[in-house]
Amino acid sequence: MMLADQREVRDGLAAYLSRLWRYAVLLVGRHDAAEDLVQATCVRALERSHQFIAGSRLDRWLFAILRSIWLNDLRSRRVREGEGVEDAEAVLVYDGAARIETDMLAAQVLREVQALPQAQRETLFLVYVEGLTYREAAQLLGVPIGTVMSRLASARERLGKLGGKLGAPAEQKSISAARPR
Amino acid sequence: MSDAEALGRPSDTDLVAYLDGELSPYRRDWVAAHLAADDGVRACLARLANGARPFREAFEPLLAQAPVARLATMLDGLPTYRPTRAERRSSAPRWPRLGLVAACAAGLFVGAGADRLLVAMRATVTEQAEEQPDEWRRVVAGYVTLYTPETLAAIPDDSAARRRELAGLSAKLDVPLSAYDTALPGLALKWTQLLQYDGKPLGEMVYADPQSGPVMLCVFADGEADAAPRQERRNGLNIVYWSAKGRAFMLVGRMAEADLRPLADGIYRRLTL
Repeated sequence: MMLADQREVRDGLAAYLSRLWRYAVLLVGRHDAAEDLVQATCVRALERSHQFIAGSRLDRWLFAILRSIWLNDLRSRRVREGEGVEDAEAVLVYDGAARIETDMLAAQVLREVQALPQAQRETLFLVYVEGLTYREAAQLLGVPIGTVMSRLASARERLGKLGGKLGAPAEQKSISAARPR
Repeated sequence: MSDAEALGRPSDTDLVAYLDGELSPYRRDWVAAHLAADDGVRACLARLANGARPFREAFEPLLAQAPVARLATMLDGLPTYRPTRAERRSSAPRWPRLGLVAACAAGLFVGAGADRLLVAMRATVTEQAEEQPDEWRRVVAGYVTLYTPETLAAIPDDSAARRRELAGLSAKLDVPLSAYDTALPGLALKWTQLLQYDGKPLGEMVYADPQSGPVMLCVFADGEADAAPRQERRNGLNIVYWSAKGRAFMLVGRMAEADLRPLADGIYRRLTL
C-alpha cells in the first residue's frame, strides 16, 4: 500500500533530479560527487517517504535531505567549511562550445559566486536562484533568519565592490526585488 | 551595524531585506522614509544593489548540464523505487489501488468468499488512473463487480458492530452516518470499509439485496462542488450519484434503475438535505 505522501515523493523525485544535482554541485564542487550525493538523497527520500507531509513543498524537503547527507559526509571527512574551494572553471562554468556574450556573463557571475565564502555562496544560491524565502532558507540551513540576511548583505557587499550595475543613488524611486518566487 | 541601529537608521540587513521584498509593510515604509531623507542610507542601498546579479539566469545552464538520463536510470534502478513506466505502456484498463486506511473491527472479511475477494483486491494494479472527478466512480464500479451474494452471505449479521463501524466512518468522513441515516428498506447492511482513493477518504457500506445481490453506498471526501442526483450505468451496474458539502455520494448495484432511484432519494434526503 502506498499512501498519497509516498506516491508524491516517488513521482516528485523524478521531476527534481536536475535541481537536486545542481544544488549538489554547489555543495560538493564536483560533478561526479554530485551524482553520488543525488543518489544517496533519492535512497533516503524513499526510505523516509512516510515522513513527508503530502501537499507540502517536496523540493524543500528533498533539499533538506541532500544537505543533511552532505553535512554528515563533510563532518566525517573532517573538511572545514571555507576550505577546498574548487577551481570555478571546472565546477560551475557552463561547458558550451560556443561562448556567446550571455554565456560569458553567466560564466562571470558564476566565477564571482564561486569566489564567495561557502556559507554566503550557499545562502545566495538558495535565496536568489532557488527562490527560497528568508525563512525557508534559515530553516534549511539551520541558522537564524538574521544570519541569512547578514550573509546576503555580505555577499552583496563583496560583489558590489567587484563592479556590476552602478546604481543611481540620487533617484528616489523604490527598488523592486529581482528575486524569483 | 549597531551604530546605525542605535541611531534608528536601517542597517545593511534591513536594506537587503528591503531589496528582496522580505520586509513587512510597516518596516518597508520605515526604510523608504529613511531613503528619502538620508544620503548615507541611499549610498548603502546603492552599494548593496550593486551586488545584485542575474543569479538565476547564470545558474540556468548548470541545470541544463545535469546528467538527467543517468540520474533517471539510477532512480529506476533503486529497489525502493517502483517505476510506473512499464505500467503506463500497458493499454489494459487499470484499477488504482484503494489503500486501506483503517480496518473496521468487523470490516475484515469473514468466510471463504470474503477471502477470495480480499485476494482479488490485492491483485489489482497499483497505477493511479487519470484524475477526473468521476474517476473514483469508475473505480468503485469496477470493484463492486467483484462482490457476489455468496461473499455477503458469509458475513454474520451484527448490528452492534455495524453501528460502531458507521461511527468510525462518520468521524473519518465528517458526514453523519447513523444506522437510521444509512438504512435501506429491505436490505441488510452487511459490512463497511474505509479506504482511500487519491489520498482522500472513501467510505463503503455494502448491503445485501436478496434479488439483485450486493448494493453499495459510497461516500468520498473529494471536496468537489455540489451536484444534484444523476444516474449512470457502468460495468452492467446502475449508479445514482450526487455531491454535497464537499462529499461525493454514490449508490451502486445490479438492481434495476427504477428500484435504485427511490433508495438513493431516501439517502439523499436523510444525509444531505
